[in-house]
Amino acid sequence: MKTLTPDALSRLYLKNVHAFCRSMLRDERDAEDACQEVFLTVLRRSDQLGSVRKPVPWLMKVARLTCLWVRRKRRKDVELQEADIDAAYDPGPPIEPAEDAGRVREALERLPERYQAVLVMHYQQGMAQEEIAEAMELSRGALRVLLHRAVMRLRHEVRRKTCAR
Amino acid sequence: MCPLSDDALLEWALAPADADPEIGRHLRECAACRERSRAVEREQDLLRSAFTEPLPSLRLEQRIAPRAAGPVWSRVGIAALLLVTIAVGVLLTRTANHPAARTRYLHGALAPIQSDLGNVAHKIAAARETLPEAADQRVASAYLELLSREEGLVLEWMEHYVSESSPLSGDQEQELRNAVRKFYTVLWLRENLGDASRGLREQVRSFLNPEQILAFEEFSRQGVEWQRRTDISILMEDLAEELDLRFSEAEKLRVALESNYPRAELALPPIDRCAPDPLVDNPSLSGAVRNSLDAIYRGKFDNYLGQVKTARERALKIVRQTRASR
Repeated sequence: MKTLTPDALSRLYLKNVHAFCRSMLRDERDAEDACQEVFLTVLRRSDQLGSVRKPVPWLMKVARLTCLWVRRKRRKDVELQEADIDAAYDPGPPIEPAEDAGRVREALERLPERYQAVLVMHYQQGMAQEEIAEAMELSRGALRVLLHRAVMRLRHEVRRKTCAR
Repeated sequence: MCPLSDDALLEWALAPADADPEIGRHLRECAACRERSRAVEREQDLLRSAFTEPLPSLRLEQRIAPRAAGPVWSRVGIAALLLVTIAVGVLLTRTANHPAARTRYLHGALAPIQSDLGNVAHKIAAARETLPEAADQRVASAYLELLSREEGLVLEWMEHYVSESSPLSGDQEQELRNAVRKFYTVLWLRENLGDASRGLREQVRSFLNPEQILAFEEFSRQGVEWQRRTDISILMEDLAEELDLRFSEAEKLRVALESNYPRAELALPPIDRCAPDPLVDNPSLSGAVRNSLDAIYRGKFDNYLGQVKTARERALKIVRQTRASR
C-alpha cells in the first residue's frame, strides 16, 4: 500500500476537514485556524503516517480534538453542555422536511459536543459507522447508541425551538 | 411488533444492515409502518442537506494545500517563509507576558498524548480480564509495562501542559519528575491517596512559578474530567458487551454511570487502578448501576462484579509481588 504523505492528505481531505471544523465551530475564522492546526499536526506526525490505515477516521479524530481545543479557548459552552448531556427530553416524531436547514443547524449548535461530532461525521462526511466509531474511539455498539441518541436529541431541539416560535 | 417503534424505524434508517431483519420483513408487509418509515427517510434527507457547508476559501487552500507541480524555487520560498513565520511565532510566544498575546494553538502534542493514554487505558482494562490465575512472569511483565507506560504518558501530558504557559527549566522538569515519583512511592506504600495528592500539590507549588501552578491546577482539573470520561466509556463498552444490553438499557446505564462515577482528586492514576474498580469499591455506584438495569440483567451484572473482583485480585498480586521484589 502506498504511504500517505501530508501533501496528499491536505490535497485530498482539506474540504472534508474544513467542512467538519466549520460545522463544529460555526465561525469561518476559527474553522480556518483549526483546519490549519489539523494539517500542522499531520505534518508533525508525518513519520507515523505509514501506520495509518484509514486516513478519514484518523483525520476526523485530530479535527475533533482540535475543535474541542478551540471551543475551550472560547471558554463557552463545553461544561454546561456536558452537564446537560442526559437531561430528560422528548424526541417526538421525525423532523418534517418543511423545516428549513438553518433551523436544524441552530438546533445542532445546542447539542452536546459529542452528539454534534457524530451527526456531522454521519450526515456531512458520510462516514461509515465503523469509521465514526474509530474516530470517536468507541465500540460499534456504543457508537450506534450515541448516534441514535444524537438524532433523538436533535429532533427534540428542533421541535423545542419550533414550539417556542 | 406492529406498530414499529420510533426507535426501531430510526435504527433501520441509520444502518439497515445492522438492524433487526424482522424490521425489514415487517416493513415489506405493513403499509402503515412503511409510511412512517418514509417519514424517517425524508428526515434523513433533510439532515444530509442541512449539514452541507461552503467550500474552503481560496486563501485557506493556498495556506494549506500544496500546489500540484509548482516550480522548485517557489517551494523553497514557501518553506523559507514558513520557517520565518514559525520562528517569529515562537519568539512572540516566548516573549509574550500577557496570556492573551500568546499564540493560540500550542496544543499539537496534547491530542496524540491523550489518544495514546486512552489506548493504554483500554489495553490495561482488557489485560486485566485476561490475567492468568497462576503466576506467569511474561504476562506480569507485560502488564507492568502497560502501567508504567500509562504513568510515563501522564507525566508527559503534565509536563507539556505546564510548559505551555511558561516553559519548565531543566531543574523544574527534574523536580516535577521527582515529585511524581515520590507520589507513586507513597502509593506503593499503600498510604492514603488523598494525603499523597495533597503532598504532591504542596511540593509542586514549591518549585513552579505562579503561571505554571495555574497551568498545573488546570491540567489536574481537565485530567480528572478526561480520566472520568475515559473510564465511563470503557465501562459502557464492557458492560454493554458483557450484559448484551438493549439500546434502552444502555441509556439508563449511562445515566447511572455519569451521575455516580466518582471523580479522582488528581489526574495521576494510582498504579493499580482500573476503570471498573470503583464499581467494586463504591457500593453506592454499583447500587445505582444495578438499580438502573432491568431485573433480567442483574444476575449477569453480579457475575460481572465477581469477575472484576477476581481480575483485580490477580492484578494486585502482580503489583504486590513487584513491590516485594524491589
